[in-house]
Amino acid sequence: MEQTDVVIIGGGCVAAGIARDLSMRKIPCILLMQKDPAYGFISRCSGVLESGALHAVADPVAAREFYFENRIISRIAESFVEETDGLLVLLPGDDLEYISQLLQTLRQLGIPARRLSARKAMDKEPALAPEVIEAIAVPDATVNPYTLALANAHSASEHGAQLWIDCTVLAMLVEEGEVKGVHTRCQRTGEEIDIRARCVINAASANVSAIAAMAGIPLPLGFSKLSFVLTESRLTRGVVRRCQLPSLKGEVIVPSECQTILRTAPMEMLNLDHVAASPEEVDRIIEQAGQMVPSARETRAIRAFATIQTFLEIRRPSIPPAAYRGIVILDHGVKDGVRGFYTVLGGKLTTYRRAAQLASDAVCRRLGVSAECTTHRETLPKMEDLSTKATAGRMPSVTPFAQAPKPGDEIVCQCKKIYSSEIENSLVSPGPFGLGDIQHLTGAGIGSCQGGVCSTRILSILADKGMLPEDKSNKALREFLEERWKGVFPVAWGDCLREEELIRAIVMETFNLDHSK
Amino acid sequence: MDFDIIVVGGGLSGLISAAAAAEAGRRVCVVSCGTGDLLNFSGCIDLIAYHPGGSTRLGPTPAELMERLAAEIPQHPYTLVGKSGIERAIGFFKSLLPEGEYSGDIDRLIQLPTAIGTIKPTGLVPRSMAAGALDQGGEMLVVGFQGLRDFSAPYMAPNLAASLAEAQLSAVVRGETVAVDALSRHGGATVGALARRLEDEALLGIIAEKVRPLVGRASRVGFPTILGFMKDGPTRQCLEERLGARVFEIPGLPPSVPGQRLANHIQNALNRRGVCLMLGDRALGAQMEGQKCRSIRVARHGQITEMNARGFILATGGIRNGGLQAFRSGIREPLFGLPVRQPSGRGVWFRSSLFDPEGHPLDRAGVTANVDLHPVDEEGRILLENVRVCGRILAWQDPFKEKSGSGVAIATGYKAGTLSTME
Repeated sequence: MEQTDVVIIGGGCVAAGIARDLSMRKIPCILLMQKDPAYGFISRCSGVLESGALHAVADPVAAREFYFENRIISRIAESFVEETDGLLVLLPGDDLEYISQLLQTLRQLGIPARRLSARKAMDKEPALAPEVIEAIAVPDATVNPYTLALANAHSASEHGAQLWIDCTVLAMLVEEGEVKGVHTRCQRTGEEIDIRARCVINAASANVSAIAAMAGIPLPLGFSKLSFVLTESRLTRGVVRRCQLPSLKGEVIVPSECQTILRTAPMEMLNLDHVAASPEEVDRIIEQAGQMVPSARETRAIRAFATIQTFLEIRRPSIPPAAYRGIVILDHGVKDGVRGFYTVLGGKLTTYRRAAQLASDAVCRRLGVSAECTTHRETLPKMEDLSTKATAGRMPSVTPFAQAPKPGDEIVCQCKKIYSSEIENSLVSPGPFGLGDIQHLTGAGIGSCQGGVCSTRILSILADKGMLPEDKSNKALREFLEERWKGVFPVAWGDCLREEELIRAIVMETFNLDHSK
Repeated sequence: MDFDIIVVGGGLSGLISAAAAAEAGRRVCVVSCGTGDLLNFSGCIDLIAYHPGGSTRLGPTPAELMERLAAEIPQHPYTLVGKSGIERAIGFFKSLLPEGEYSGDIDRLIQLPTAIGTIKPTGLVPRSMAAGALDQGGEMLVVGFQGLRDFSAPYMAPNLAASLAEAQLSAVVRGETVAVDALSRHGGATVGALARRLEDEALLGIIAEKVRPLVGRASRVGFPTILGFMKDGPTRQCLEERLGARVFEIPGLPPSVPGQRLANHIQNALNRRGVCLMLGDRALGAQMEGQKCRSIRVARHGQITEMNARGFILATGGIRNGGLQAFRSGIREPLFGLPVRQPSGRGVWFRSSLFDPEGHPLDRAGVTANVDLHPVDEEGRILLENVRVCGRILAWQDPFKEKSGSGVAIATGYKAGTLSTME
């Protein structure tokens, strides 16, 4: 049995942010992650720190919060936030009235915005289509969501929080209307353990309903789907989107280091079992993006993926639920008679810190702790520190930058130039590592071939180290390739398809892997 | 430059068609911007191992599967060539190579171990791999090298043991990794680099010393494809003598050493027959005269050259090699603009499971040909009277599912080359 004050369930920025906030207030806590911080929403997110302009007309309260947080994150995460700015562009046929309305709202909210002529916009963003009539420049920024989650987790760890990865919550311990902790299983060791705690915070994004149900609380949520296309190269300097109500089209072009993420507007979620981007969606994303930035039509797409957004069905009567961007902290003691149990909803990447603060405030009130939140003042660990500081206990260290090769090193991932020593370094604690874990941790397999070539090499390294269950490696390879395919086939044409044909020839013709168990 | 026949494409089907045309005394030229897939392939000639109708069972011989294709898919390249034509093509292929270089026929499948420990059913096997055939029982030792990329004995051996059990084969496998100072000093060697170095007899001796104590009761010893770069015979024989066991190569990841050896053999055969090889030159377009191709434009030494011939063979490959180009709007054949049989739209190119037993609709896309391998339209009308089509560009085949890629290349290449002499 373990004992702590607060258990936080979730692996994204909000959950890691809560762990950081609480531990900075000297409250002992354990962050329970289902996989590693790269799993789930964090790797399926475009990484925009919104200026708030997108939502200003529909939800001005949330928009102000977005801008406020955007500034804070840019400050505390300076070393890995890129202050790209964003353009809201107007194309022929777009609503000219909306642009005036938007500018007026932004002025009232104090969100800096500049109206740019087509030429000025083109100077700022040379990739824009010549059809662009005018644009509004707003202070959007971008961040690698994985790095942000990781930095929060590392900071939390430095302040004394415990980080547990690969842990599944099996049950909620509830006694006499009060949460007493969680029952969890470590995926690596199979060990099951009770964690006794005074409060439990449910920040499990897509899984919040399932976690709440373990405490006997129904939490009906609405769902919407976002689809994404990742391209091989960076197309724009900054974030580019249409100057329209986000519910209309809302395709976004987001530079992400040397790549670009193209994203749809939220779509109605029809089938919860099928969270993948279809070729038709990919074509639509590319066509919409291509209207703003023509090179989006020519560039090589390397992966498509989709994610679910959850929202409470009814919040403010005046706002359609999908448009509501605000944060909700549910105190289940008040709402459902289960004290000490809280659920965080509606935290976006931009407002993750605010969501974490509100959740921590609620917990502090219950615990009678008067310490104030300081997460907006203290900077997060720098990126280079993340690679060297091994976090205590159950979390592997991370190498976000390619390191210099060592003697005898060989390249494993040719797309991203990841060496075998980096793979080996990521294997710090023994256990049934999945390929996905290693790819998240090292960056191998995120380049143009998406792990099609290096996956066998990584598995070979694991086999050489005796870290694979002996005859299961081809099963792992098959599963990896099947999962990868779901992201590749919707973007398979042109060069991407040519490379895919080679990968399939190796896997199916040379190796006959499709007939292997 | 005037030739009787110009072959566009230097992969397996193009080279075989050139050899067949030259055999009949024609002046032949091969124009190719690359080496096709020979450097990507396993080194084995896959004839056909599975029925394309979704059956995952191994059992029927290639000959039986070809007969089923003939009854079920009249447009399949194998059906167009016919069983006896396929057998003649295989005979011709073997005749281009040194005596006994490849063994096997359409009457049985040969099962080989692969570098990841799966079992590969194939048709013709190079001599360097023959001793790996899994229908022979007994113990086999598999040897990897420290610092050698893309081959891991601890990965392969347990997987192969599992595969053998699954397939109810009696062979027993054991994996060992050896450290050879002369190799590890160079760190991160590739299979190709190691194959070159193993032509050195001194190094071979060192390796034999390291491996000999590990042989134990094994009657055969498998290595990655490193038994010499140009020739595998001397290296293999030397190791067999010193190890007291049969020695074989295990097909693995590209770039392929056995593929390079095969390409060399075939190119030598073409040189002996006086075929002009223009490797590294790209065919850009064709000049037509009615239903006939008069000449092709070729980018050569930074200039564009016009090349005339009486007959042309289109062996430019599939999507992987640029013989077909995949746009979001559809698949096109770039050289002649031939119609491409294909699924109705990008939304139905692929199934959502990579290993779907039915295969993916796009994989059967390509140019449709008649029994004379002339490209035809939907109604079967000949589109180009002096052009024959062979290899992966042909529609209706599914090499991923059938395991038929190199067999189709040889069968259609031979037929296209033979028929083109009638031009």
